[in-house]
Amino acid sequence: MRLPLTTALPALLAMFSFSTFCSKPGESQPGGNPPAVVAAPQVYPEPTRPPAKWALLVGIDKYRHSDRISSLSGCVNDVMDMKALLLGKYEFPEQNVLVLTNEQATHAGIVAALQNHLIAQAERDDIVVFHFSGHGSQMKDISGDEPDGWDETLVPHDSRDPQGRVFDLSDDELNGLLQRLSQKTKNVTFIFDSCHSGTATRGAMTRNIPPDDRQPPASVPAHAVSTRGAEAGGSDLRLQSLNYVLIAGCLSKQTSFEHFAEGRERGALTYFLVRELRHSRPGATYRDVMDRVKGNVNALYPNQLPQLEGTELDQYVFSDSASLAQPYVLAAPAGSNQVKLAAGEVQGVTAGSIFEIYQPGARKFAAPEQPLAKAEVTSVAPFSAAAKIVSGRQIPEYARAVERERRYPDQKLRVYYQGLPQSPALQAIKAGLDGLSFVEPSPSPRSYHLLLRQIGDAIATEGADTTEISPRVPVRESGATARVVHQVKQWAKWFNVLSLDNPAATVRIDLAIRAVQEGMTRDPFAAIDKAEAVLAAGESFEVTVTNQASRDLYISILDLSTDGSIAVIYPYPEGASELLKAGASVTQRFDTFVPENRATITDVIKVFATASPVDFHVLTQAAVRDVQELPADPLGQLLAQATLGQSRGAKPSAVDLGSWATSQRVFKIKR
Amino acid sequence: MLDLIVWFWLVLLSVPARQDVSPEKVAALPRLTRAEIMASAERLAQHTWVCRAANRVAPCVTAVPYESDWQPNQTVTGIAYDWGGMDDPETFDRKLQEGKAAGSHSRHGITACTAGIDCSGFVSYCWGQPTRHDYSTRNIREIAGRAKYNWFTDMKPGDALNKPGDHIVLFAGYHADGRPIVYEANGGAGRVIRKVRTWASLQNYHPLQYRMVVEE
Repeated sequence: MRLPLTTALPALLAMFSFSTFCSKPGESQPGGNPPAVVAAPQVYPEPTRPPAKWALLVGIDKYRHSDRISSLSGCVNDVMDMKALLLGKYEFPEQNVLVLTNEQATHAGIVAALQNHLIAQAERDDIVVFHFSGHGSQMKDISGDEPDGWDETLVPHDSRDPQGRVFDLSDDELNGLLQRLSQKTKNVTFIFDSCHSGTATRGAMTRNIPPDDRQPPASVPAHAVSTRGAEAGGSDLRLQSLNYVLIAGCLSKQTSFEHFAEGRERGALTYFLVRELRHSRPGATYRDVMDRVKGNVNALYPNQLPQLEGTELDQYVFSDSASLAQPYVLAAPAGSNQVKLAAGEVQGVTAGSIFEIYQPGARKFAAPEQPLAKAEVTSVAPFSAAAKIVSGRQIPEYARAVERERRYPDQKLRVYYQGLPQSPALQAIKAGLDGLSFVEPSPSPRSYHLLLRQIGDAIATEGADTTEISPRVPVRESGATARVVHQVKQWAKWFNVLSLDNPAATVRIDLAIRAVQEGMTRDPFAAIDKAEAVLAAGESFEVTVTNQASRDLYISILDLSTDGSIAVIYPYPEGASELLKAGASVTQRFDTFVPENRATITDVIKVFATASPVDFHVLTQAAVRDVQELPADPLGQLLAQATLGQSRGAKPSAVDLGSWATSQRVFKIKR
Repeated sequence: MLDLIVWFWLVLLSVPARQDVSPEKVAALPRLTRAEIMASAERLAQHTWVCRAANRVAPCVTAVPYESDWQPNQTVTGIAYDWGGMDDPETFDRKLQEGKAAGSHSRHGITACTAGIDCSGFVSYCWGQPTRHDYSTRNIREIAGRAKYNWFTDMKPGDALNKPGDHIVLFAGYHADGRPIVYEANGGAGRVIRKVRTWASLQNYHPLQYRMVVEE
């Protein structure tokens, strides 16, 4: 999976080497392109009939080899409850719901049901549910894709036979089947109520006690290998590229529990899931339902945190039409005028940012929905944040919060001085940099953005990957100290511009990049699991930006070259403003080359979309500019401070997140 | 009338015990690491005491004869098994000093003149309930969840195996041959012991995990 660039910045800085590509204005084609997509879109075959609903429900309490696999109590109840729910509230035809319990749920039986009942019959727009309640476990990895050598598994009724003929359903085997299913229809829901189910379809985690160390067959069954998996050279889940919803009982290292209620045992996940689905209102999304399921299960079983994953989490439950829910975080009351947000540092929450809080179940976060309160973040922990209500009233449990204004955190460029005591030149440079609020010395050679050291009679500047990223400066040269300080300032600014982001943007743009060579085009990002795309030197590429917002936006495209320069490459000429109509696209073409002394280079394209025209040429890096007056509006101030490489902590006010958005791509160019 | 009483008791016994548990109650449970749970078990199993003559008689037991499990001046390791008891080592020693009998069995009923700990009291103690015998094998799920383990492979030290209405043991690990090693307040042994069990001896038990165990 491609790393989000906002979280990949340190890695990005670490891998940078000298690079550039030559950009030149090409033909602008506003409104003339199809909607852009980043990954290759899934193409579903044309349906031959109206959409149908299909379910395969597997529940195993009793195992054939009971001296090797202990029994469970609630799994058959789970699938019976789920069947009743699907037939009743969700109107699945009874003949389309296949239930396998205990002796029916053999390895071969489950595989055959997946192939014949679901994969063979499903068509585009059909709604498909696969539910498994039973044991989850691990077995030896045979495909070599698991770092720890163990595959996550589902345990069929007849697995672990003494003769060594029947094994668990491994995630390798399961992935192939489920991926084929996902390729038939985009409306697939997987429910795994078992231990280790958090990774049952997506690769390895560690576990303490390997349960089945018999050597499995030397090859993965044919039905386990999907085309896409084979192309990717591995079989850990590629479902991320398809449309699906996965509900899992717990994280890989956690335990799933059976819950006793109303006189019967059920899986805790299934019990609360069925209960919430029974009571959910029409139009409830998976996130609507799972917010409560997770809370209920985790409150009673603190070591079980059900998981909701996939690409269609805001889709209506067991339905085929996606809602338009906006991103939100859960908010809960935490004392008088205090709120706890279920997002923290990891999600990019910053102290001083403003959230609006809506009723549980809110999805649009716009009229006619009205916020209950507005809260300002007061402190941030890794996975949560505390906020105080600054207007409005107290909020209920499961309220939903959306970020409206962002207080950008202070970001400093960390510089490590190697051999400082022995180098008067370095000491002079350090003295020059110590006065800058946006640069701090790093005490550790293991943690820095830039490393400065004296090599012979010159000062070298290295990135975190130890490659030199600025020209060496001879120490005897007049103004050497000022020149190195200037280089570091440029890098601080470059870093700031690169990291500008609006994670809670309410205006949306899509950014697509296609390589163009000899009249053919290809999507360099189509390869799955690549951290960056690869272009061949001499290859042209097209950048297509699509305005997915409901209003017109001004578009600017920046090139952040890894020699530290920043250039505005669109619109052209300098100072122009290009308004992109809502729903329209604009395409620009650029050429690439690799400098003679390099085999590979890396580069970044960053797009800004703003509600009002902004001259991004202020960001260009030809020289560190003096900005005499900061622009009046907060976004302008943020950009100007980035220009100066200044600390963002000094910013006087938070920035309205409803007025701008960014998107960026990094890619490599090879000879 | 007798039929009615028998029917009443049959109905009562057939209804599973209440499993009252609320998020507030769970949140109030002490958080314990598995190492802490096992240290408590080891403490009770390794507690050494001497049975004096006064500790071999239980004057309050009158319905059936009381016969002590221990010889005069016998040194014993492991707190005595006491039906309905939940004494930590300090309380147990104090009660022996007061002349109470060392241990009892179900046939003696729950008594005020005996000292020791029973199976559910032992597991409750290890799970951070040091003073009150609030949980029996029937309702101990209020503080523990029934885990969807394959018990032959997935259990971890500090979990328990429970048979409601019968017995409960604390799981300590797997023996090299795959059998479970347990700590238990064992009526047959008359005290808290560490033992390698057979799986056959644990038929119809199910695995429990203390709700507030902290995985390290």
